[in-house]
Amino acid sequence: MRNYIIKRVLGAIPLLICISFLCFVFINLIPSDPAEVALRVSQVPVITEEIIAETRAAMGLDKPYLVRYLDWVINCLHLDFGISYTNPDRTVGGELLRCLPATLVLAGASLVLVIFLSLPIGFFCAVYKDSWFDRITRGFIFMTTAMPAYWVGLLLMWLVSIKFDLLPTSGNGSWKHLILPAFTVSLTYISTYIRLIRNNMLENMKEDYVLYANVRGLPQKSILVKHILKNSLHTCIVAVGMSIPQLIAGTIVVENVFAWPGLGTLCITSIFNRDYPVIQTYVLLIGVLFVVFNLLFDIIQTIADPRLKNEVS
Amino acid sequence: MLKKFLENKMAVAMTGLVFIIALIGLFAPVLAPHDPYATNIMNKFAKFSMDYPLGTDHLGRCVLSRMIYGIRPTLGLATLTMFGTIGLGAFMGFMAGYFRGWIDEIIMRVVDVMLSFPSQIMVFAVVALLGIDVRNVILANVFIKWAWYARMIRAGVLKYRDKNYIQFSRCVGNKESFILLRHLLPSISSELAVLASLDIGWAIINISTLSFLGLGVQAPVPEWGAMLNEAKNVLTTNPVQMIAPGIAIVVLVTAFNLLGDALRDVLDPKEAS
Amino acid sequence: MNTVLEVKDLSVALKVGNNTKQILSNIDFTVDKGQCLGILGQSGSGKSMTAKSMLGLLDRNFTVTGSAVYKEKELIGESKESLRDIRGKEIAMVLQNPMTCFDPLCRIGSQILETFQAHTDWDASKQQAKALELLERMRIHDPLEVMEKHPHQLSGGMLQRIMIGIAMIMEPSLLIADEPTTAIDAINQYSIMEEFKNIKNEYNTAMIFITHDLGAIAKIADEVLVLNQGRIADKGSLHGILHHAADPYTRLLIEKRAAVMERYHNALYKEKLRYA
Repeated sequence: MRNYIIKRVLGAIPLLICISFLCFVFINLIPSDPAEVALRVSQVPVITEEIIAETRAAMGLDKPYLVRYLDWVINCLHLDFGISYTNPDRTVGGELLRCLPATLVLAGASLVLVIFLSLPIGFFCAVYKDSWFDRITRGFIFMTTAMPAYWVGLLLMWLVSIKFDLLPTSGNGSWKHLILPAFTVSLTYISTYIRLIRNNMLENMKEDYVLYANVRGLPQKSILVKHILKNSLHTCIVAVGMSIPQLIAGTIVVENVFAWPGLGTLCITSIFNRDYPVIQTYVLLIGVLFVVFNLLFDIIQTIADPRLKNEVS
Repeated sequence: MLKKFLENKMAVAMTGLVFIIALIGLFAPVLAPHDPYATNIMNKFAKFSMDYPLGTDHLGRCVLSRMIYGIRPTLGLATLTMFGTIGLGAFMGFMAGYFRGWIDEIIMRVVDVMLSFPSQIMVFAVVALLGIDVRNVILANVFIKWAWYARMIRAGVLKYRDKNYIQFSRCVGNKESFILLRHLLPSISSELAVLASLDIGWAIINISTLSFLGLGVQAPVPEWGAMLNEAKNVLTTNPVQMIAPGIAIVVLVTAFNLLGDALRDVLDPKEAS
Repeated sequence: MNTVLEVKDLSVALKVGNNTKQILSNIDFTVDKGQCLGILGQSGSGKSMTAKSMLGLLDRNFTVTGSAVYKEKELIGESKESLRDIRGKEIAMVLQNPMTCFDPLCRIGSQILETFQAHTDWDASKQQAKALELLERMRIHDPLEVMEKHPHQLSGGMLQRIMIGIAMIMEPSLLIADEPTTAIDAINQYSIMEEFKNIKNEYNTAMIFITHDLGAIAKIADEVLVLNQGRIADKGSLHGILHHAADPYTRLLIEKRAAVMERYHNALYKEKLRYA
């Protein structure tokens, strides 16, 4: 088992190198010269060719590409992601750290909503397949796939906050601010997971072990929960794990609608301000999160599955 | 195939709907009651009337006219994205499946990396890198989506490469790549049609989202996402503004989704029997 | 009162969309105590369907008509829950694919115990004792260890014997074996057949043995029912069917088998000559 984990972790390293290299290339592809930008940001009055050349040397931009890449990776490993172009007093790491908690809160609340809504709904849709409940849910799922998240956000904001004045429209502060954005973010994922759980359960219902459980006269409830649901959830573990980084990345649009001061808002502002180091670090962060969570839940699933566990140990 | 398509009411109805919308967009100058750019501050936020069937916006522009003109960027850009995606995906997939060896290896590794990365973030990264512009939005969408098609088409090529009729034409002395293309395209076109009609809905949402955020189509060009961005600013005072563009997006995307599902039913031999 | 099960005019129809397809038509048979009825037929002839339809194991798309009286109790049209009480306790069944019939995520022990919990009010220690007794009776080594194993760690033959053990420990009045030897290898097939013969001799249970294997039928059945495309092709005592089948389809089955056996014996004979 330990060997398996080590093997998987080592296997993820090439992917991480790929992602970090892409992010590094990204900032070196931008049309403007980083040295020049840095000078302009620190408000040097007259920018001459000489000063630019000097700054290039100071920033290490004259070194070979690969050396610079290695330097950058080492800096990143020390959590030094450089300085924001638009706001030289602030480091990129500090900026991200400032916005991260808000996004984590939003993503966490959304995840809780997704799990607590999609699990029971998916379960009952499968158990009462083709009933009115299942039909309505399927119609709802179909509708939500065609609705842009930002529009849903606007509708909710208008209906709940403006028309009935139940919750605040935007910003963050109390748990009341959290409800609408979290619900909007989770809506897309709820549909996906209801469908996933429903189809998984229906697949499992056709298995021989369910027939045999019925043949033995086990109670319906026990067959559904102890056997079918358990087996279905098992195949969903990786999907749920992967949805965590997806949720963190997927808050961009909704944060913007509800003026939620998280990473997404920071990212959009940075795009408008051409604050490339911030965007670069944000993309790197999300990429690394994807790889890490994928790895983590893959291993968790392997440990949880008696068949795979024996195979690898 | 065509007969089965015509028998499927949903497929025919949805194709019809999409066609009508496209035609309305095409003949926008004839059909729109007003100039979509003509502002009239005196007449802002006008109610529904004979003259302005959907009222006017915050600058007094005719909403219906803007909606009609908005079909052009929304549908046009999404179609363009799909052509680009399928073109690039088909080319890469075909190269990988046809030449095999190291070309296949490199292309498929790139595809793996592309598929493992969150698509939305990639769009933002590409737009950030290339600058805020509609063309870059299209490029970004093509860039993140081609990998799906490349993988599918490669699988198709590998499946048909060793089929008897391909081997036969090889013996007869036809050029292999020509044969493959001629036989392959019809055989995977059905699968492609389903995927493409589902993805075009995705592209519409994606492009409108970027426009909504101000990263895509720029004001004052009438585009549904951009219109919603303007509607957002007046949400408290004039919530009606966000109804028309939102519903239009939902209808168009639903039409494509239903079309995709119907096509799958038409083309899937398993479902039919 | 020796008749355990009496089936009359049993029919099953499958509804797909607007079409109805007749799967079983007018099946009649009776099974007596201590007696084994063999149901013979090709795959798709409706053998398993016969058993499943009586026990309420088919989904809503199937319509079952006719009558199946188990000990003066009508099974057709009985509520799902009361059939559930009968299944596994009064009427036990052994299925075809032992490797896929156990929940892959559950330990064997817990799958045995849950059967007890469904039908008895035994306490934990009695359940444990019964489970061990069941495994020992099926001649499984290290029963304690086997209880802790997951299904994929055991062989098909072992799982099949556990399945038979679970069926018999509840001392059912009727045992239905649905192709119990099809999915396992030849050596295990032999020992499984021996197991069924023992059950027949020891427990005096009524038995329905469903198979497409004429050899297996010949070993165990008293009466034989031949099914072809959902209808009874032939019916009678084992001897009668094997030697004086009236129905051409049955004769075909028997002749095919005889031809194969003859070739086998010829080959064996030649081998013997070669070594002699």
